Amino acid sequence: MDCCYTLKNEDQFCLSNSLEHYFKLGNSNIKNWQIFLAMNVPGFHYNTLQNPDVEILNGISDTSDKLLDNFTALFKVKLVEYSKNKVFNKKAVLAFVDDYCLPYSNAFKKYHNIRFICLEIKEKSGCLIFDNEYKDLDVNIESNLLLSFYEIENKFDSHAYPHCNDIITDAVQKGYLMPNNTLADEISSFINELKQRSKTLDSEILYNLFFFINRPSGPATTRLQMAESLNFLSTENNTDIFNNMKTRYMNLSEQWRTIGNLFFRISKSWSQKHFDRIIEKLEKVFLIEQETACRERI
Amino acid sequence: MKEDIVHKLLDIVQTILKNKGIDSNDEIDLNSPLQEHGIGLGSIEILTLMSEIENQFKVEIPEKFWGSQNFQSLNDIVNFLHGQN
Repeated sequence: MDCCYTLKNEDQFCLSNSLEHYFKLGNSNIKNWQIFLAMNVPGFHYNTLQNPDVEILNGISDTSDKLLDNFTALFKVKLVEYSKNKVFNKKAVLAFVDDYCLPYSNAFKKYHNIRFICLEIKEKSGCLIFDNEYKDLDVNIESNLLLSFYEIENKFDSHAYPHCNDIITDAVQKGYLMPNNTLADEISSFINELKQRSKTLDSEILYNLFFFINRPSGPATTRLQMAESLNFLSTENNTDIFNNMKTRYMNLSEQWRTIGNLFFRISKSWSQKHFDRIIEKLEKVFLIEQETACRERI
Repeated sequence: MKEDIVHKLLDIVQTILKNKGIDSNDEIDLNSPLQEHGIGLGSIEILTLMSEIENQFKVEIPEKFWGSQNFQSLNDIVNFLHGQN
């Protein structure tokens, strides 16, 4: 199997992204990082190049069902499942989808990847999909694209939601904001694998690496969300004790974003020089991740 | 010289927009933001544009533009390409 660095199970990060879109449709101003913390999802997980069937978890210790439980408990909302027929009359819903059936997905007709997205039904033959980025698709709603649908009760009642400070306090108490020191070791293995397989990395694998790094579950976004969480903590509590950590995570996010985009660049036009530069940058980010895991604790 | 750059660049942008299903017969404002609220390019399309520029203009876009802060408008790109000559 050539398709590596893909999620085999439900993607919890896409879930937090989809939930943010979903609340926006109801004019509720809940930020992605709040959902991210409420669900306990800092970190990321992936499959290795050598053992694609083995999923490495990082910062996530629960199933998506458990994460949804965390979310619904903290936000005091209830998920209600709907049938396909009933959903035609609904304006916006959360849905489980299979990337295998999603025309714009990188995994379309290649491999299965079940995850959450938010969508708004326009008419029977089309819908707006709020995924990682906004999509406007003319998809057949009767197809097996959509697996199941959910509506959140009280989603537009902002009084039902806890204050941001409550969310963060809860996340800190549960240890969600602890950096994970196993990640640095995994990056080290990842660099070694890339070096060993540099001659066999085709454009599809390179594109997958770009996607893996830049997707909502990837290190670029998760580090940014961590920095945003810390920024909120600093402002709300009028303290600068998180400044160093915040700066470190912002830097990590930018480093990862650049590495991801450089993978995209060589997926379009291979260059050994550019590949070597990516390895160099990965070795640098490995040191920062390692330092962050060793030094920073909340 | 600058006109040639603009012409070639607009050809690339129009092809990308066409592949995205956007009919771009209207005149494209070189000062508009590249993103969805301007010309209409998503993040992957902006990366595609940068890759196409490297391939077609035979230039190397510096690494600083491959992070989150890349080119803001087509005019930025025109000025960069003009400076390469």
